[in-house]
Amino acid sequence: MDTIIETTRGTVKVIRFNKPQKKNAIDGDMYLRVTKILNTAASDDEVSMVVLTGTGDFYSSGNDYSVSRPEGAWLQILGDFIKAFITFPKLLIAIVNGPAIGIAATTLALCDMVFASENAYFYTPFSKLQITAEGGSTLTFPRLIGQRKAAEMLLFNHKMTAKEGLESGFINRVYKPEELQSKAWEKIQEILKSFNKMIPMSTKCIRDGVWNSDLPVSSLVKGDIVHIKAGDVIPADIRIIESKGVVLCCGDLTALGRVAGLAARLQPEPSPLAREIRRFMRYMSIWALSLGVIIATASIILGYPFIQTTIFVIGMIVANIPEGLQPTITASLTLTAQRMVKKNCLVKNLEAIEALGAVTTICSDKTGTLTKNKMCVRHIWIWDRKYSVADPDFESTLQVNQALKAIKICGALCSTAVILPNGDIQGDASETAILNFLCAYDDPVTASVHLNKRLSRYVVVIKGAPECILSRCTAVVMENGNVNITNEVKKAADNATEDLANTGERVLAFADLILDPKEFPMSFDFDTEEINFPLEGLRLIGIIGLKDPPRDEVRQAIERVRAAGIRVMMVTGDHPATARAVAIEVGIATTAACHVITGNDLRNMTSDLLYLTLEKHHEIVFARTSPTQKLQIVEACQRQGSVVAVTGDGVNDAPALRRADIGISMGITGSQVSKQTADIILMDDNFATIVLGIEEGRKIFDNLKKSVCYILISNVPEVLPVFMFILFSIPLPLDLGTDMWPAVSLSYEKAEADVMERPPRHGDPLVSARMLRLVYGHLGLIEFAAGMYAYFTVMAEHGFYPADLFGIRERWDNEAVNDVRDSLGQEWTYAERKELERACQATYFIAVVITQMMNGVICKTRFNSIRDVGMKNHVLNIGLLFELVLAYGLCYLPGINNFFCTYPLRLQWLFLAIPFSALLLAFGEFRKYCIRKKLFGGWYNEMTFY
Amino acid sequence: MQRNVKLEEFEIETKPSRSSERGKVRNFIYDGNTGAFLGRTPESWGKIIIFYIVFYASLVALFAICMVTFHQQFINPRVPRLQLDRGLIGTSPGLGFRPLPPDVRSTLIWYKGTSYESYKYWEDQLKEFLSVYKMKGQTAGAGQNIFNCDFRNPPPPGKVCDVDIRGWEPCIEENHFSFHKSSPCIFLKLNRIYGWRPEFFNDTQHLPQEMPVELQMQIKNITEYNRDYANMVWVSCQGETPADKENVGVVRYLPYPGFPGYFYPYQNAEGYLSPLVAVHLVRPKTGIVINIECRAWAKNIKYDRREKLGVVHFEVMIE
Repeated sequence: MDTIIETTRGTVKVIRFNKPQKKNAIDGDMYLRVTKILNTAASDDEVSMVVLTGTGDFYSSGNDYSVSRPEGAWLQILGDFIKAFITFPKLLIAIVNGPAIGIAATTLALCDMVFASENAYFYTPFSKLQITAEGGSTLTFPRLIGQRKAAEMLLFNHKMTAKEGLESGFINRVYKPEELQSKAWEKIQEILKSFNKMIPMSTKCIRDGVWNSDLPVSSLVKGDIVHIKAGDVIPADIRIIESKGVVLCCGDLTALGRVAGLAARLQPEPSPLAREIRRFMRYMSIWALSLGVIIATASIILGYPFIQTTIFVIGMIVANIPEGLQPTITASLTLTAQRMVKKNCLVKNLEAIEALGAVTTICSDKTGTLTKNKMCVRHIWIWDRKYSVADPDFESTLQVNQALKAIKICGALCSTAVILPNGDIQGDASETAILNFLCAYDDPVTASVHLNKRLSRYVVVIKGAPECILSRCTAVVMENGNVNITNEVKKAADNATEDLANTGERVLAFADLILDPKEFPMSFDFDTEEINFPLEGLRLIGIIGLKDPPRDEVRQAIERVRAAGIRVMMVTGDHPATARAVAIEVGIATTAACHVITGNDLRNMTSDLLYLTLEKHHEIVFARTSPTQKLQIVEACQRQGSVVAVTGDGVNDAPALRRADIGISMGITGSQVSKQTADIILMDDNFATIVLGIEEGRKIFDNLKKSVCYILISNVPEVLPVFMFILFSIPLPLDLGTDMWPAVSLSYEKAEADVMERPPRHGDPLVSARMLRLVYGHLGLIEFAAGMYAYFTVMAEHGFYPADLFGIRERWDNEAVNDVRDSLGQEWTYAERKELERACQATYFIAVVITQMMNGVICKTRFNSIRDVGMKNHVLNIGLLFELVLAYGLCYLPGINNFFCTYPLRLQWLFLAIPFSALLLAFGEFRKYCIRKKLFGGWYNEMTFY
Repeated sequence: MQRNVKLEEFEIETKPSRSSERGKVRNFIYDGNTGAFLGRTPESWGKIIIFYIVFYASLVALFAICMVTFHQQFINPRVPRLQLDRGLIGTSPGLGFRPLPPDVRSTLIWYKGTSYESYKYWEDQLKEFLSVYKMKGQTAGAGQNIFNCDFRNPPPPGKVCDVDIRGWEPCIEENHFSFHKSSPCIFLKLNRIYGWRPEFFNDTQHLPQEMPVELQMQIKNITEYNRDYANMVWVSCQGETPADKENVGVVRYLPYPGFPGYFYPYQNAEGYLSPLVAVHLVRPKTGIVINIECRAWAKNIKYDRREKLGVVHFEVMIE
């Protein structure tokens, strides 16, 4: 077993101590190996950092002297080892997966960053072992953790826990053991990203006849002649002549630049939420104004002075402003965005997250979004069977097959792709895929052996479209020997080809021909431009089907999205057959006969026809579309009234992303332009996150509805007293808005049971007639009744019985009248009356607050029973409590109650609203029960299910 | 533009029909197809009306139950639940005056001395105010409760004391309350507070410093005549400023400069009448506004001029 595992992740070299049976103790070989890796990495341009970690639950337990070596050698080895650490010029990061002891701990001090798991500890028992502290620790430790702590560790064998290490500055971060690797790598990726930005890309080019070997790509201009090799990034449109290219245009003038410009010019529609809010506000204003007009008319008819009327009207309009709405929206959007970020979904445009809940159509790009954007060998056809690479017994069945061997040789040789020293493969996507496939199933070293053979005898290897290759073949490789090609064989091969092509795979046939060494001696000069060797009578080896496989999570995600009533369409620039195959594979299309529209079809369609097509077919795949056509499709969907989400990663998706209600880009594979235009970025490229977003978005809307319902309810007891005051001339009961927090905290509610099972809200407004009916007709009235009951009770307790209150207002509010008589003949001065009025208003206010608290509980759910949901939303609980405390504070705190014209109430007045709260709860639960069971012919669903 | 013939078929098939706006409105008001009126069929309207009747009936019922329970448990139709300090009415009754001016916000009694038309309003006001005092014998249930009280004989429970109109002479209706002689009578009354018992300034030796000298003299005179008369809620009226004091001239209080103590406490007995003091401005200056402040005196009547506690303010102007 390898005691040091060396792997490469991109530009990161990972060294892993792999001797778990000895707790990763480091022996001489391991020292040498690590030293060598570090020294190589130091000068390797492809390596940007080295990461050290260990296998199992130990990082390393220090020296392992079991392999005996001469004394001097040890010192040399250790010295070189430490020196490699000290002189290493690049970033050195340790992921400490467990305890680090002795030299392992001292080398940590030489690393640039250390991430440790919670169960790690650091232990340097040098004095116990009676050796001097090694690895420069006497220098590095005091610098890191201070003289005192260092002495404690190095002299007194103090065992430092991970927590202590974090506190003293010995390490950077501590994570839970199970999270360590992922979190640490997250950090490393972050660092790498910032690295990438720092490394300027350069290219080789000829400008004005002068050779520039290191020109930054950003300074390319029109007319430069660029030397291109695979893997180069050149931000310009170039015309390629052989391996050189002339820059035709750059920046905004390039094809991509124009697309990006199109994206920038497009103005996205206002988000569904913004539309809803605007609509709600418009209705609210109309409602408030018409109430104002009614009040004004009534009060003028009843003979109130103009100033008084104006005050009524203003009071009425102010009372109707849903003051808690804006904070609620902001809070819920921000909270959700934060939560989504934790789930690797960056929300750039806050409102987009809600829009995602309203989404009715998702137009998804194929490559990179639904698929991995990485070609893979999926099938191999070797006479006369098709083998699937994904089969578990694929390797065993073909182990001895001659044809497979031939295909490997052919695949390896007939390729321009190269394997870079770090193991990466650079080249054409298909060839990369083939090489990848070969690497996975064979040791690449064998390829070189065959290369040696080639020296004695030339072999022509050829790969290409099966129809071209087949026509040139005369033989076929069978399991044990070659057979001449008959019509039967041809037909079988044709069938296989067609079969593979229909599933959307890119099909390549392989063939070879061994040349006669007499005709083509070693010195023969081959010319591939003017072919001077035979390309007929080849031997067919096999056919390979390549495919860009769908991402693993996509199928399930699409299933869930569809269950949520959302239509998923594929809009791709790819070939129709490929698009169809992928659509079927990921579940966008459920039947093979799904409607495929190509860019050409689209060009011939009028916009009406496109509209109708979209209406007629539910499952549509758009293939071979241009960026503008993507835009056209999105617009057509929007014209249908759909809320459209577009997922895409390429620059060509940018206009559609911009135009869509929600543009979703991919964080890893996504291009800069697409990320800039997108509203939401999936940091891990995981399509399944969209499902989560939809759920969150729907939840936001649900919770907003609850909040709005809750806010509106409290309007009723604010508005109706004014009516009472004007129409019945009773002294004015009053309400103050203390319900802001609970309104906001309703956005912390968990999603309801049915959130992902129902179709997207389509024409389901934020505030519906049902909600208004419920608010103004039912809940608000109960609340008002509670307030009035409390008000009347306090009045009655003081001697003003309800019947005598009607019409009393004129004398009541008259400062000159000092003897208003109550029902018991007592006479009240103005000051006494006003104090009583304040007490009554305060009682009314408290009653409203108490019923409003119950309303908060009721508004927690729209559908589920409170019993099932429970009071688990602590923000709401605290909010309700806060509301109560605030209300009491307003009443009882001296000074404050004077300011707000409230009054310190008698204890029993605080409980007057309890029966009405109980009624509220009972009614609410009964209503929700009926809604769940669809009782009374769905009466309550129709009437009050907002 | 070239069209795809194959796809043309849809266009005929499902062209969306767009009904006109007016048609929509008409359909909303009355839909001939379903018989719906204002978007609902008669059946649906019936249901919704029944639903709301039931819902509101139960809400009103709960409200009524709460009210009734509360009334039966706690509310006595004759006795306030929260009395004196326990309620907000407190223990310091306010002072009021009659007649009240026509504008509710004003406290100015203004008339032309000689013109009947001018003082008719004030006379009518007082007539109306005093009618209950005049009619007491006739009012049902009130008459038999009348008890002839004096300081030694406070009324037994349920009985009320008589207010003698004759004692106000010349401030009586027949005399136009003396308005026509440019020497108007203003009536003062103390607000009723259930169960309130005044604490009298009945020690003539220790009357409060701020009490007007005239009143102190009068108290001493009255109590010399009969010691029991000390148990009165005294009343004094003065001009507010030195100028007003001069302009007011002589003020007479009828029948006494105070409210006799046997009228208290008020216990909402049938036919109870508040005692009144007629303040007769014998010869006030004419043609000028006189600010008058009347104050009630008892140990438990709080006085605060700014808060208008225990004091009433009015202006008189006779042209």
